[in-house]
Amino acid sequence: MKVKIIIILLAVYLFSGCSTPSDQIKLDFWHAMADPKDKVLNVLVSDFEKQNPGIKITTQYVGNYDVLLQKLLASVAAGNPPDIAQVYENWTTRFVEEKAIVRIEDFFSRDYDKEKDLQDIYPVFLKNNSYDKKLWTFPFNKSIYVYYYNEALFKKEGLVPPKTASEFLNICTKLTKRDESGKVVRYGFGFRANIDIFAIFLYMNKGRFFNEEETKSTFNNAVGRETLQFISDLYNKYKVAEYSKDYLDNDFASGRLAAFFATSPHRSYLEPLVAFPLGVAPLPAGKVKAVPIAGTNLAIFEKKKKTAGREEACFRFIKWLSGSENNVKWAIGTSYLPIRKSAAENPAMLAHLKKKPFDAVGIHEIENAVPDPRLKCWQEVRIYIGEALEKVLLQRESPGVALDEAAKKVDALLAR
Amino acid sequence: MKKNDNFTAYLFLLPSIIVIAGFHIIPTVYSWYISMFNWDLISKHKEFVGFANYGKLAVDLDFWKSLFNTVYFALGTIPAGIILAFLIAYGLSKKIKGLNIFRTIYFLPVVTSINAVGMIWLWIYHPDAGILNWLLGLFGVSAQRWLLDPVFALPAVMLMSIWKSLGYNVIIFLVGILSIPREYYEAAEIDGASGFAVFRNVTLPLVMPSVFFVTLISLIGSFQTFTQVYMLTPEGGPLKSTTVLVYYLYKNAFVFFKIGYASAVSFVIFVIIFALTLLQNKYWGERIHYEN
Repeated sequence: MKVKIIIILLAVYLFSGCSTPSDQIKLDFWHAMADPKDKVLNVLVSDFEKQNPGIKITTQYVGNYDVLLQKLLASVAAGNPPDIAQVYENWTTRFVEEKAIVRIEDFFSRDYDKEKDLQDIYPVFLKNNSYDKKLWTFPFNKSIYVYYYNEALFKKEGLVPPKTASEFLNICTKLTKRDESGKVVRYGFGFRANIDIFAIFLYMNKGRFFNEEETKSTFNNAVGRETLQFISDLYNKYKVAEYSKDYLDNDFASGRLAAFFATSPHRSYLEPLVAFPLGVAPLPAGKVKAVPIAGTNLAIFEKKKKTAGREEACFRFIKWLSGSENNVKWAIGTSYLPIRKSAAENPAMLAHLKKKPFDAVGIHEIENAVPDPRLKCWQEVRIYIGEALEKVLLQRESPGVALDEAAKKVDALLAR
Repeated sequence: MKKNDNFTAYLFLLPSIIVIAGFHIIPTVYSWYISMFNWDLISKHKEFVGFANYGKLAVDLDFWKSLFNTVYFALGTIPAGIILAFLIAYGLSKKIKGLNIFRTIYFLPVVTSINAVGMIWLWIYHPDAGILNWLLGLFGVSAQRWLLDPVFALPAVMLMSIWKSLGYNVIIFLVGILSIPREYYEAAEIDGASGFAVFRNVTLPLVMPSVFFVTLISLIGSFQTFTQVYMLTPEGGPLKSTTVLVYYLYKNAFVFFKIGYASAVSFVIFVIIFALTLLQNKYWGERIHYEN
């Protein structure tokens, strides 16, 4: 009798052990992909799990990018970070310094088709994820700025999207409409009053934020002043543009704005809102063709407690996710850029681009892409330059004074 | 026996003590400690700087601006909020038609999520499509840019705050007014007191404890203002015009990751609120008639 009970207990013990295999690796993946992008991500994750039954990935939407950074820093400080998370380059600088993340190069260098990847992934992304010539993070959801416009309106007025800065101003002027009382009922252009609009025009004018070594500000030189003056003129002098602190989607959808700049995947938020045909065009060229890229990369976080195979499993997932076939699914579902040439040329991608020529606009802009600076203090720099822009828009200060003030603060940070 | 009683009492208090110590007292004291360091939240090394963060605060114009904005916010919201709430409560204490509907309407904003409320007020303040500019337009007032205008942004946040907390204050006052025993009114009537005299000499003095309570929590609340500002002006203003103390703390802690500096700000906020509470208690303590 006793033996029987022991056998039963043993069997229960063993079988219950089988139902949840203890050798399964569980990974947490923190992201900032709001609806509907998270759906695309979750489908990919469950595909991965089907192909890799030994790995279970829990995706967690933690909020927007600001919140993601706050939670990542807090979790690193508390010694309990996720396994994988989206990170911007300037965050990575911080994490590399504190050894909070695992160097992807360590796995990538041993990968069987590393050479193929190096040829295939767009160089701008590889460079942007490398620190001291080693790959620390892996490109994931990369996007690029495009010109969104109200196609119906452009057609009615017989206009095509601007190709140069002067055409841009011309179109803004033509499409700004006033009622009998002189009140503007539609602006030719809209922008959010933060650093992004300044970056777009600065790069276009062949300007940069810092010198090559990133030790000194250059955004307050003649090019920077001219750039800021132009943005201010759109609003204050020509009165052909409106600015906001908030997203511009609703103003655009209701017809109060004829056009605005936003990143390529923004299309998925806009399409359900607009009742008119949506147009997407490359940014106009200034002195040069140069377009800021945005979007994040994937990092593997360091854990105090070492689990066998955890880091390998993370890399396996990242590698799988960025593979041509899955990258295409991701790009088609979200309008993020394909990160490799083979994905951009994939038959499924080409078929999609034929249906949605919009998404090709961003892909063609990759060759002109300019990545953001990667300084640890970039978040602060963004705010100081945003404040300068605001002072100029409100006509409290001239571009020269406002930018010099910001540069003084930024240079103090750089000197540290 | 006495000793035993104390022990039992402490045993019952223990759950609260653990929670308050764990989530209030220990973090507060720890943040005082952190304010002596320069730290970015993830560095293993914390640089000890003594009281240098407080020295920096003393000459930080942005800090003084945020303190000014906070005081401005308190002055703009508390008296107006209290007077308005009192008048409404007084009205609701009378037997009028649809009493419950009015009470619900006034209380609704209090229980509505600040996020939802924020979205609606963003729309109300929209310079082109907002209902406020449309409404003012009917009276010939020209359109304002509200949250984009450094002069109007903070008053716009104040207006939403008053509206949001009005219902709570109304309830406190209403309870205060309704709990005044009928005998006092009857006595006043027999003495030949008329409407305003009754209000002045019976109602008002007996509601003073409620007024004290509401003033105190409004004052503390206004020094802790953050969410309203963050919802309407996520960047703390045009030209920092809505950057109040707690927003300034948040920006230093969670945008710039200057944890030591932010902790110094938090200590200053602590001292201000503590001092205000003591002062108020002293001032009002002697002037309130508590109903026995």
